[in-house]
Order: sequence, then structure tokens, then C-alpha cells
Amino acid sequence: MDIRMAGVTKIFHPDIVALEDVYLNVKRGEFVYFVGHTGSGKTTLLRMLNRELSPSSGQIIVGKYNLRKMRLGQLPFYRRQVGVVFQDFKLLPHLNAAENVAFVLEAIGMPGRQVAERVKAILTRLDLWKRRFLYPEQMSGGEQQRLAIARAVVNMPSLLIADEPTGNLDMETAESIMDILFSINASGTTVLMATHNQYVVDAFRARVVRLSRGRIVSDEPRGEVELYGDL
Amino acid sequence: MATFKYIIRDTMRLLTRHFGVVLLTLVTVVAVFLAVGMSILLSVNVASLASQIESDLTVEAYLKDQEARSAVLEKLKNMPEIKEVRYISPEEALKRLDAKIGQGEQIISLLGDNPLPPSVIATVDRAENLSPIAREIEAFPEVEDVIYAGEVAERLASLAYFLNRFAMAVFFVALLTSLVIMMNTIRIALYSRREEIAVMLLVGATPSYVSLPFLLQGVILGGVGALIALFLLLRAYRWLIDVLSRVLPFFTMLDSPDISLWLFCLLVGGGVALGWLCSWTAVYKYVRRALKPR
Ligand SMILES: Nc1ncnc2c1ncn2[C@@H]1O[C@H](COP(=O)(O)OP(=O)(O)OP(=O)(O)O)[C@@H](O)[C@H]1O
Ligand SMILES: [Mg+2]
Repeated sequence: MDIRMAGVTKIFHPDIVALEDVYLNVKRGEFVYFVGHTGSGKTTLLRMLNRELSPSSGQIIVGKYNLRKMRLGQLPFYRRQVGVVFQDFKLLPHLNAAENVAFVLEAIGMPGRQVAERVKAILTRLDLWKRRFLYPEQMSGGEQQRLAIARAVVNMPSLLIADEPTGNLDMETAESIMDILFSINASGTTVLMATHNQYVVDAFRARVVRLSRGRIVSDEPRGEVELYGDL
Repeated sequence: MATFKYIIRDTMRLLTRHFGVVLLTLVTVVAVFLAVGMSILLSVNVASLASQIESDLTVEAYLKDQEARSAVLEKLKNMPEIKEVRYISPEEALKRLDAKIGQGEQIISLLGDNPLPPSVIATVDRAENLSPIAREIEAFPEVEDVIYAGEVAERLASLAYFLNRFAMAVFFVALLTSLVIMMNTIRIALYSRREEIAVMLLVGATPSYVSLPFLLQGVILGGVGALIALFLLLRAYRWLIDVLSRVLPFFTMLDSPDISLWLFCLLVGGGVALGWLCSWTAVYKYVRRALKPR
């Protein structure tokens, strides 16, 4: 899905300006990093695209959806096309790995057999099939991260949003996560990823959008960037 | 269909996860609907008794002696409001008493003599003529005493009216109580699953999908509670009918399949509606708000 943000500003009550006058175009199938200091507005921008947040002003158009004009009743159907890997995973603690992935499909009314097939396929792909009966608290950080990705992509979204998917992971695990994200991207899914990881940005080249205090300060198509170069 | 299965599974999860709270709610609902059912039964029975008595258009006049018979009969036959007159001799009176309470023989052997006076039973044409006619007959010199249903019926009717109001009050208090308790139970369930609800909404579940297990939980609590109450109530009522028919044989309580059906519809329908209403108010608003972008 193509993404167009025009003049997007987000002000949190009462006067915290998290995003200011953001213009951004992303073509379908692109891979985009969002970088910037902590508090620069990366998460806010991504949450806007999932319509967890709605802009204080400006337009956001994703595919055929005009997010600001979207009715509440339409929102669930929009979200089914957007996979999100949350910064804090948001896995459900009382469900095991397989159930955590399955419930996304169940929630949209997919028949049981199909759910089982899809869950098996995605868990196998992310190397979690052996761990399918484990509960989130029994899994390592990298496994939880992969599970969160599995849940985000199991419904084959056309847009994948990943907020710091390599945070707290060692280099090798981070690499394997990036391999997964790029392979998902290769199958046509637009991927937007917020990161602080210089190594990842260097090793897996893609467009880099840099935010600072809620504004886009640079946009490198094939980003050879120093993440904190503006320090 | 698959969705339906998941929703049922989730509902069962809800009902079993907080089993203590669920049980407590169920007990409350049962108690509340018992109270409602009892007050309804009481008021309809009194009302039916009153109308039974009211529909009795006869005046019974006890005569001073047997000789007065022809004079009284003559006078009564000349009154246009009176449709029918019947003389009852002391012997017949005894037989009727015997049929009613089955102890006439004992009374005679107790008193050695038939103590019952001769009487006439006059049937008037319309209920509003009952008391004027009865008073007129009472004024006859040959008449000792007059018994008619009007007075009793009037008292019962006002009692029934009062009981009706009472049943209404019980109904509203009960409604309010169960409303509050049920809402709280649903809220606890909601609260315990707020993260799950948030995540479900984030991955594209519709508000109705998320709400349905909670709505069903409410419906099941209300419906099952009312059903249990109904069962207990009908058992108790049947028992009461049996006892009363032995102790007070002339007092007939309402007893028909109709009344069970009627109570079933009223209580179980009320329980289901109440459960739905409670959970709908608590859940749907919550879920919609959770879905709304901030
Ligand atoms: N719900 C909220 N209410 C008020 N202020 C908020 C809210 N969410 C974010 N903010 C503020 O908006 C600004 C941007 O936050 P955001 O989470 O987007 O930063 P970030 O770039 O994702 O940072 P990090 O790299 O640490 O994750 C911050 O100053 C933050 O305090
Ligand atoms: Mg963030």
C-alpha cells in the first residue's frame, strides 16, 4: 500500500508536540527505517499509521484509505491489512505461542483448519514450531520478538510496521530478525521500521528517514547515515 | 461458524476463570428472581381469589325458622333483580357442609342435633346489585342474618391491588440489585481481560467479536439464574398447592400449565434481557472507546 502523509502534526494533551508538519511518501513494497533520538516521534508516527493515534492536523492516506475520514466501523478491516510488531510485543501471557498467533486469525473469523495451517507455516518459517507450546514468559527475548513478528505477518498484511524489532537483541539474533523482515519485504509487503541500531542500518541498506523533535530532518534513499550524526 | 466456536470457547473461559465471582452473581440472580416470582405469584393468587369471590353473585339469607320459608320466597321472587331463589333446608345445609369439609357427621355427634338454620340462596343479576339487595333482604323480619361475598371481595380486591404494587416494587428493587451486581461481574471480567481486548482490537478484531463473549456471559448468568429460580419456585408452589388443598380445601390456588409457562417467559425472558442489557451497557461502550484512536 502506498502511504502519503501531508502536514501531519500530533500534539498530545496539553502541549506536547510529538510530530510537527510531517510530509512523507512511501511507495508500495518499500523498506523504510525511521531513526532519531529517543522521544523524536518515531513510535508516534508509526502508531498513526495503525490509527492507534489520530493526527491533530494533516492528512494520512494509506492505500485507498483516508485515515482521518475513516469511520470507526471500518477500522478493524483496515487493521487486518496492517501488521504491527509492537515495541513491547504485546503478546498475551495466558496463551501459548501457537495460540498467540492463531487468535489473530480467529478474531477475523477464519475457519479452524485454515488457521492451523497458517500458524504452522509461519511458526516453521520463523523457527518457532518446536516452541509452539511455550508461553511468552518461557521464551527468550529473541523468540518473543520472532513470535511478535509471526503474529504481525500471519495474516499476510500489505503493510508491516515494526517498532524497534531488534532492541535488546544480540547482533546475530538481530541479523536473523532482519533477514526475516527483508524476506517479508521481498514478498511485496511495505515495511516501516523504527530503530536505534546503527549496525542494522549499515548492514541492511534501505531508505532512512530521520526524525528530530517531531520533524523529518533527512530522508536518504539508500541510507549511508550516521544515526546520531547530528549530535 | 468458526467465529461462533471461538466465541463460545471464550465465553466458557470467562465463566470459568472467575468462577467464584460468577457463582456469587448466579446466587444473587437466583435470589432476586425468586423474590420477583414469589411476589408475582402472591399477587395473582389474591387477585384471582378476589375475582372468584366477586363473581359469586349469591346472597345467603338465614331464616329464623322453617315457617318463614314461603313468605320469604314469595317476597324474593317479586324482586326483579333476583334471577333465582333456592331454599336450603337444615339437612341439605349439613350435606353441603359435609361435602366441603367432610366433617358433618362429627358435628352432629358433637352437638347431638343439627345446628344449621334453614336458609335461602338468592342469585342477583349483576354484581352492583349485590350489596343493595343483600341489605334489603337483611331488613326482612323473617331473616336472621345475611352473608354475601361483596364485602370480602372488596377487601380482597384492595389487598390484591396493594400486593400488585408490592410486587412491582419488589420487581424494581430486584432489577436494580441484579443490574448492579451483574454489571460489576461483567466489569471484573472486562478488567481482567483489558489487555487482551486492546490487542485484539489492534490486530483487527471487530468490536462485536470482542464484545460477544461478554454479552453471552451476561445472558448465561441472567438466563441460568432465572431458570434455577423458576425451578425452585415451581417446586415450592406445587408443594404449597398440595398442602393447602388438604388444609384449606375450599381455597383454590391458581394452578395450570399456563401459569408455569407465563412465569417461565417472564422470569427467564427477564433474566436474559437483563443479562444482555447489563453486559451490553458495560461492554460495548468500553470496547468502542478502546477502539477509538486517541
Ligand atoms: N500518549 C502520549 N501522551 C503524551 N505524550 C506522549 C504520548 N506518547 C508519546 N508522547 C510524547 O511524544 C514524544 C515522542 O514520543 P515517541 O514515543 O514517538 O518517541 P520515539 O521516537 O518512539 O522514542 P523511542 O526511541 O524512545 O521509542 C515524546 O516526547 C513523548 O513523551
Ligand atoms: Mg518508540
